Amino acid sequence: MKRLLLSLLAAMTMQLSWAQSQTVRGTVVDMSGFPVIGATVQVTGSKNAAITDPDGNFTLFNVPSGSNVSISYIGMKTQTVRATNTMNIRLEDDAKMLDEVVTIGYGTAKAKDLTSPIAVVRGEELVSVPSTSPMTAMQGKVAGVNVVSTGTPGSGPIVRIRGNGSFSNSNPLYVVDGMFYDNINFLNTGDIKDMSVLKDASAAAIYGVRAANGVVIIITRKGTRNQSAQISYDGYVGVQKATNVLKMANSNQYGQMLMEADYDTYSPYFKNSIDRFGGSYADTDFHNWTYGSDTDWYNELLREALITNHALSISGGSQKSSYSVGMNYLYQNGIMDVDNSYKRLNFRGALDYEATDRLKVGFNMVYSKANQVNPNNAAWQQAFNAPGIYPIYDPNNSDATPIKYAAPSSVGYTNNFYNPIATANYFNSKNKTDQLLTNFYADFELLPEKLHLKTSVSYDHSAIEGFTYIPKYYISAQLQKAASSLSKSTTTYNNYIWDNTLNYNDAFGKHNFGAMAGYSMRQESYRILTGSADNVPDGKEEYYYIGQGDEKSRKAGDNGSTYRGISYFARLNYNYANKYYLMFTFRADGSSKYQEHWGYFPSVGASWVVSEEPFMKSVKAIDYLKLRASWGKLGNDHVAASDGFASIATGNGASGVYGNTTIAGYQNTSYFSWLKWELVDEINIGFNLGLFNSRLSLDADYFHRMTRDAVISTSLPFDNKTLAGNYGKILNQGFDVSATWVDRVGKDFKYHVGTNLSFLRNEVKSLSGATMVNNGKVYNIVGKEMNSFYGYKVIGIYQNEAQIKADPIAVANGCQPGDFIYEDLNHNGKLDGEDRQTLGSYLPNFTYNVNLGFEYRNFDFELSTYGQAGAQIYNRKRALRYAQSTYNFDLDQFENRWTGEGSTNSNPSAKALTRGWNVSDQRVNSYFVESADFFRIQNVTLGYSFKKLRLGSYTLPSMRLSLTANRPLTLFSAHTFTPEISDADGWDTNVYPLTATYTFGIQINF
Amino acid sequence: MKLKQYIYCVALAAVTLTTTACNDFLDKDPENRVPEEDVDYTATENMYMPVSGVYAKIRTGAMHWVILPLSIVRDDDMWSGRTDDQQLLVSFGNYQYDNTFWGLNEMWNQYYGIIKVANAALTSLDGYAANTNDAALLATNRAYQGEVRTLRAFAYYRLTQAFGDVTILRSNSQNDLTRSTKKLVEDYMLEDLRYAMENNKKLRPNEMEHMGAVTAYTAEMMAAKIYLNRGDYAQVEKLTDDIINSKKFTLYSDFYNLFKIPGKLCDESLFECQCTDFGQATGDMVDAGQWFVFQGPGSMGGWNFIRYYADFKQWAEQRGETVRATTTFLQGGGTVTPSGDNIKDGTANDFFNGKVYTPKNQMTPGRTKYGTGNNVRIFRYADVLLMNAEAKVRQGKNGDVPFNEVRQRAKMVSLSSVTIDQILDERRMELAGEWGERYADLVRTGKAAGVLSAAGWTTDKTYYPLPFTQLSNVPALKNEPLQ
Repeated sequence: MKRLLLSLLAAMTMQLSWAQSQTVRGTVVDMSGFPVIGATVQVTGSKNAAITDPDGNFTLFNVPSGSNVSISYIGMKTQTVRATNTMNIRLEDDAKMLDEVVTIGYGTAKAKDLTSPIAVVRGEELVSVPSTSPMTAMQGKVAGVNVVSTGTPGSGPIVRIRGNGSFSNSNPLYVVDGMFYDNINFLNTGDIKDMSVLKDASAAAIYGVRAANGVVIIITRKGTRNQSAQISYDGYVGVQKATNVLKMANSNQYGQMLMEADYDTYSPYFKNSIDRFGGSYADTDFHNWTYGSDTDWYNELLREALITNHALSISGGSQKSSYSVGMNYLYQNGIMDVDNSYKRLNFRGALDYEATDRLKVGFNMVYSKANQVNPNNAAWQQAFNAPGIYPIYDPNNSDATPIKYAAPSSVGYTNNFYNPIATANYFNSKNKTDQLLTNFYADFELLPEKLHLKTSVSYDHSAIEGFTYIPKYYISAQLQKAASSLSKSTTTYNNYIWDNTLNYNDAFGKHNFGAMAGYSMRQESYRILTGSADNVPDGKEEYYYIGQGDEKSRKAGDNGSTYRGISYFARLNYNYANKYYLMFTFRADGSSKYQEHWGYFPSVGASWVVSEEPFMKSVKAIDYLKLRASWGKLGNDHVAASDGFASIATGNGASGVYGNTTIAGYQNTSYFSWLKWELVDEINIGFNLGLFNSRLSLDADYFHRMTRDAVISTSLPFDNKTLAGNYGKILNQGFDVSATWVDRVGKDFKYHVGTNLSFLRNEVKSLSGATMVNNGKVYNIVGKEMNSFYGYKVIGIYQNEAQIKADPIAVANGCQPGDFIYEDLNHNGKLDGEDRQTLGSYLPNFTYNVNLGFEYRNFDFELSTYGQAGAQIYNRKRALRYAQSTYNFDLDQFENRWTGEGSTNSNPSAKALTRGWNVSDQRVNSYFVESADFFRIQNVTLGYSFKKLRLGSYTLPSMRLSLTANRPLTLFSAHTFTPEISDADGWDTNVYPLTATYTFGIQINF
Repeated sequence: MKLKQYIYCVALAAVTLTTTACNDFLDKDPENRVPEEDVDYTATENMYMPVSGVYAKIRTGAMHWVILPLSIVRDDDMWSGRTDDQQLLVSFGNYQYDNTFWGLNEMWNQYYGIIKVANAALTSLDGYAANTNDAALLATNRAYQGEVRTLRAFAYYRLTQAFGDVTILRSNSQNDLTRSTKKLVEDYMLEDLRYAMENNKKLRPNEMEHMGAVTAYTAEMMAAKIYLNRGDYAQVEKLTDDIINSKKFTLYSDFYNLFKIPGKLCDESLFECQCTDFGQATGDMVDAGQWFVFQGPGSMGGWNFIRYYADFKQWAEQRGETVRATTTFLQGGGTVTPSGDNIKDGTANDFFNGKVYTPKNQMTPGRTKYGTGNNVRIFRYADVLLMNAEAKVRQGKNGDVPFNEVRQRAKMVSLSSVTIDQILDERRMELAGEWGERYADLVRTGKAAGVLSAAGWTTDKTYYPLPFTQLSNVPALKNEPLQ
């Protein structure tokens, strides 16, 4: 025992005597002399590190003399200097952020070592946007990433990386701490440390079959070693307000339209309304009639709604460990004026621990609990269609129960008309979601600083419980529910991924190597169980059990899927003198989903840092120039494994009735096809440029992405159904450009201006021999943009009878003045299928973002804008009039209608809008195709920071107050609520208004 | 030493991984899906299942609501009932056809949907037949095939009535979709119907083990209708005689209730599309979609479509119609029906389709959807009698007996030595509102040019144009029909 102690003591003395060590103290300041808080100061080649405190000070113990320390901070150039007892470090701004550590698939790399375009967005850049989903905050932040915000309350946005490469699913893959997701709506924006967007194939190929639509890697917050506890609060409260609500015709305008179309047919409705709800039709001219009922349904349905968010986070670390915990509470009211809201409570924790010199272990978890009170979104559609000529309530509707809602039948409407307010209120629906994401890992250091083995298990469990209850009610013979109905569902997802990677890094002289090999297995399973019953008693949620309903009406159903995957992957990096870089990756993916299990996905990338070459040293303006080129192959397994009718349909729908009962039947008309994953080949060529002392940074990339075996659904002959097959070949090519200028004026004024631009061209290259396929809504034609609208081009309006007599097409089709003139493409004097042409498609050719901001003393300001051009939408809301001519009109249709010769040559008459020549679901025409171009002020934030605020004896390190306006202004010309359509085919059926959010926020660091 | 341990661990892990990574892990069947190959054709107790599936398809396909207006708007008695909605149906009534009307495409697809399900059912039945040697079972199998063929012929019959020349889909995987002439399609139907006559039971549908299933007589009647269109009266007489002489069928005495719940599957019925609410106030209904609802008056929960012209009502009154007038014309404007429902919609000059009228007091209490629990009548014995009368008169024989049987039930005086015109008038009244019989009669007798020309009818308007969507998706439809 004594000997042991002695030898230990001896060992320690020996160490001490070998290396003369010192204590290093210092201060880190920025260009203006302000302290840099949270900069990392690390002794090069060791794990000894410290973080600067609120005064910019740091202390490092036991620093061997003669060693170097490196000082790094995001957005500033890393400095490496010889350690001295007292150090005063001044960090320079860096727009390029070359030393930034970027998360890549199964590892990390420094920005300067990348051979492919990977964009990184820091969590801090996202938190200023008040949104329930982190991806909403991403809009405009990254060139080539198109975020389409949907107005639907509670749903996340649609995200496209470098265009649409698939007819079936173009959603990118999200990898959250190693786990695969289709969306990250459950995450709190504040819990995200950073997001890496792998745009090109060479970066994404390491994710193989899941990567075709691009990959977004999300790392949640972790603690930092050697840091005292950092406690911070971040919260905001605000109001959401509907914007760009489409103006609809009022009762009088609606009446003018329909009675101009056909007085005899439509006037009874208006007389009914006036008789019952007041007004006058005494005037012989119906244009002057007045209406007692003039309901503005949207106005009635909308409200200003609250949103508030509170986040608390604590993180820190000792020499061997680091931790981070946080909680977040979000509450959002919906903008529909009924009880609807979204409430989410998130907890997260991360712990990393150095168990031994060679073994590091850790785990992290995110738990999210969300309660959603759902609005009945059908009410929006009904509000859009309902005219003002009947009110919300009608005390004379004596049969109505329990509330005296007005019935559309009181003015004579039967089918297709509703009372939207009743629809919104006779509805009770809630969802409860619990989601748990956990990750455990162990990292063995087999050769110090060289060879690591990491094994990591990620597990995601989520469960959604939902119910919808519709009470018994009566409004009219058409609008009634004789028995209340309850439906419930329980959905669970259980997914796991087990990743194992072996990492090797080494250097010989100027040759730097890196190698990684990995193995991964995963399983994704989904189960749903549903049940329903009628006549469940109303009143309280506690009564809402299936067993409380009529026994005969009870029904149950379930469904599920399980997919498994096995993957082997490897990456090789090589660089010579940090000048010439080469990277290869390869992934072999096996999937249970497809008949053909295995796919192989290679990629290669190279880059040349030209600015490191001696001949460039004389070019003073250029600080940094890197040329990059890469190629890779990707797969998209987000296509169904097979398509077709359920091989055998059974149940009541496939059973004949005999007497008073059914005899079990089946229908086995199978149109069946096995599908395989889609394949993408992508070439990327680009450069990164830093100019004028790193103040200007410019990144540009050209890409050429070809999707092969694209799954396309084609209309089956003689059938309403479509069948998908791997028929298509689609090319997406374009440029992504982003530029940032960062500079200071004087000592206090720091500003930045940036832009992200994406140019995209999409083309269907081949369709397995066919020149054109129709999937029901849109057409795909070789040589044109995918999902093109295809129909007749309106070239004018027939102005008078003489013009009609002179046109054989007008004569043959019984046209009237006010009707559309269609282009006779082949000039044969007949209008038929041959005269159709492509009329545009819903794929923007150009998206742009401009952002600017400044910091002046305690003020900070950010402004970002976003827009798109070259996209078209099909205004299905207008076109739907083919099904019901008495739907309400939007105000523009009233104001700009053709009213007689010479009034307009582009808008139809009121009558024309009720005629099949102009409005038909099969005869698509260009009147309904509108430009989806828009420009938006995305976000404006103004902040004021208090630093070192004295509160009695306590000094608060910092507090920031901010005001944010999110999406305050959107400009567009289309007659729609928003030109951002959730339908991939660009059919605008959207009836939800977009919202602007105005918030007041506080961030406090304790 | 320690390093070696690590390396050993890694090696072990690698070996374990690669061995577990066998394809077993990836060989996983899709969930909740029974592959088609797995139908067990030896389980002959399931042999009726594909047949029941075809009946279901008749209910879900042939009863699409747009099919009725497309069937009736071309005659002189009825119109779609609404000018403010589905105006193209009004234009169609004036013989201004627009092949982009969605309803034409819907009708086309629905009937071919039945044909496809029927083709597949026949394949399944062949599968069961191949797995048994039992003579009785094989006879049953043939009878089932006969039922399916009768239903398939019905779909073709309706298609030819609407479009004339259509495609014969002999198999669901047929590549050439060129049409055949109407005559060729009819020959194909008659083949199917002959098979059914030979193999199906000579029973009334309500005598069938599967209550209401089609029988040999259903096939005979359909064949008779095809021969009637062709003018082959000898065949019509022979087939209808066979039905009449079976003495199985009788006219249901209460014409008013014939079309309502009490008249479901009565002894007059040769073919009905059956629906049920299982007699329960809540829960599942297996019904014909919106078939009843769209023809219903608004105050009954309907959509106000389908009305008779006031002229036609007047014509009926001049004939002295009572029972049939009350039943057929469901008068609006606050008229109270014999069953006590107040039809508040429109004026007393609006006549909804009384032949689908289902009184509230006949419905299962708790059910509110118009027509719930009622069946759609397709073929009935009165038509057989009138066809028989016409066939006889056309061949110089006396048709009074079958003719007067129909009139007596309608409380109309008997006539003697009836003429073709009298028979056609009788058909017009008796079959009004049912499946467009009036238009078919006008076309086959050459009277259309006279009666309908004022509204714009010409011979080239006999059939509807092929649906635009089908023409663009299936270029072979533009080929000359096969002779």
